[in-house]
Amino acid sequence: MVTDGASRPIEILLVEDNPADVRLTREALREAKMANNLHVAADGVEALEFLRSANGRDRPRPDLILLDLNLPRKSGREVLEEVKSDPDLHRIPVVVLTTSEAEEDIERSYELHANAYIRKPVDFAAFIDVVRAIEDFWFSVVRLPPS
Amino acid sequence: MRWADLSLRAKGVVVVAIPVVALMATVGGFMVAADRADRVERQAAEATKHRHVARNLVITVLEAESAVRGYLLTGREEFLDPYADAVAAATLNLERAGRLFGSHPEHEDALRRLDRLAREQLAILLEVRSAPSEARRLVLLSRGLLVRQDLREELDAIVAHENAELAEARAAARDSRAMSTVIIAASLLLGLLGGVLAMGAFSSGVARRIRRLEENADRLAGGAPLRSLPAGNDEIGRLGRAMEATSGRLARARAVIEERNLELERSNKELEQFAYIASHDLQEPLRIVAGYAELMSRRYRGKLDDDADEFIGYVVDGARRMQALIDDLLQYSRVGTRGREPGPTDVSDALDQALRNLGATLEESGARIEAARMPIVTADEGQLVQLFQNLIGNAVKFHGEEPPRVHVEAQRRNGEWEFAVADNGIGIDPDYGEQIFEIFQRLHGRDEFAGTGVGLAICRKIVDRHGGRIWVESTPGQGSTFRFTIPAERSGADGH
Repeated sequence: MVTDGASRPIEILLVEDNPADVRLTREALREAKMANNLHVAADGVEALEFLRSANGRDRPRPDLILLDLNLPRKSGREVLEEVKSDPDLHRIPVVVLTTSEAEEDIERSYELHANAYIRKPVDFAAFIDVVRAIEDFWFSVVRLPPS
Repeated sequence: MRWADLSLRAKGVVVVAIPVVALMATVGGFMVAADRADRVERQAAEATKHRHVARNLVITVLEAESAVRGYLLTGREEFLDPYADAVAAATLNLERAGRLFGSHPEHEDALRRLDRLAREQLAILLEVRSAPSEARRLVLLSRGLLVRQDLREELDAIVAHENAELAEARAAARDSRAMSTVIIAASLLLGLLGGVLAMGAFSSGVARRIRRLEENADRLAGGAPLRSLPAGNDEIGRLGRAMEATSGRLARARAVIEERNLELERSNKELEQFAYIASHDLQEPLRIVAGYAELMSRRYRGKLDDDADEFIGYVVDGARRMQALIDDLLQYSRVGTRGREPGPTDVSDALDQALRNLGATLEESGARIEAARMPIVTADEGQLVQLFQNLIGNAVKFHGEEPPRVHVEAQRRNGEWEFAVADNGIGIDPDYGEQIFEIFQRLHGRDEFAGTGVGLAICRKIVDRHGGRIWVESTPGQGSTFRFTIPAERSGADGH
């Protein structure tokens, strides 16, 4: 994490089934300040597989999970629940990044111990701001436990 | 014919007739008894007269006899004076007896005998007065003694006869009085019994049914199902059946209306749900279009030709407008589907929140907002905020030459609160006063004023949901006043 200084890029796992969205996020991150590696899982099953097979080399343990709620096979809610109840994974910050504004989604996510809930802005500039804010907050402002 | 089937008029006649008949029987009994008593009294008076006349006759004859005896004892002529008087009186009494008994054939024999004896005695006395010898006088006197005895016997017989007749009449009168008493008592009893029975029948058959009819009328008025009416084919029965038919028709009509209402509610809900889901799902691809259009414009502006820049500009603008539309549509559908249960709400809090939400807009336009004292009403606070936000936002947006000034106030009238949001803006042509509350209705071109035409439709939906009304008063060029009401006591909103 940040404790490693600039030597190591930030590992981010994006769980998102829409390639257009993936690309947009990638573009937004490209404009970010910090070096980062974006890993993508297209559904919940894939995301959990990635997390559980982390080995620190080609499959690093992510420093942050960006999680969409509506996913094929296994929904983001289930992924969230499993991550937060797994003692190996529950310390990884999970930011729910979704189009849903529904109050029940927001409430449910925090009940499942999501670390933040963010609605995807339509405006690309705003989206870049959001990604930058996420990056800033989680990797500069917040002190996280050593990994 | 059964009692229940008799008409009310016939029932009334029966109820009244029974005591009347009993009363008539009673009066008749009284009259018969009085008549009998009258007759007996007359008979008694007559019998007394008969006895009196007979006795007077005998007495006058006896007086004549005693006068003759006095004369014979004394030999003095003055003793004969009473004799003459007695004979005259006797003659008079004989005449009277004759008149009296003449009309009574049963006394004819007795009278004749009495008459004969009286005359015989008077004749004997006359003879004694002028008897030539003492011996002859003695014979006559002893004969007179016998006649006198006969006369007394005859008188006793008449008196006895009259007494017997009188007793008989009295007995008959007693009997008749007793019978009248029985008749009167019986008819009174019968009348009473009949009256009670008729009253009972009337009470159970008429009064009870009328009460039920009354109860059913109340139930009909209140829309409750009717209770069954005891059978009967009179006016009450017919009225009851008419009421049952009415109630049935009302119930059927109500069922139809309720069903339609349910259908309407269902289709309304479906429509709202549809609008919500549609707009929600429309957002996803739109976000991609808008995102990439912007990415393109950031990355390639000025690197392609002018046409490309212009086209990309249109795509970005279109996507933004569509986003605004979808947002508003979502908001519109949420008024119905995502509303909260209305509760006590301080309107000034809602107004403050609306002004905070409009913060940037108000600052930019230099608007001045004045608010009077606001009440506490039963409302969905979030929606009240949105309502004020839309109305004040509009007031500021459609400003004229002057910097916008908005005045908000509340007045209580006729059990509801009437709120007014007045501005000094461009105003609205009264012809469009109603149309502006329709969804997607816009009065201005996009280049004049931005907007989707959903804001006021949302306002109306919110006010509708709270059981109020919303309207606008305006003079073009001089500003508009939007007014809406919210019931003061109880909100009409029901969580739909």
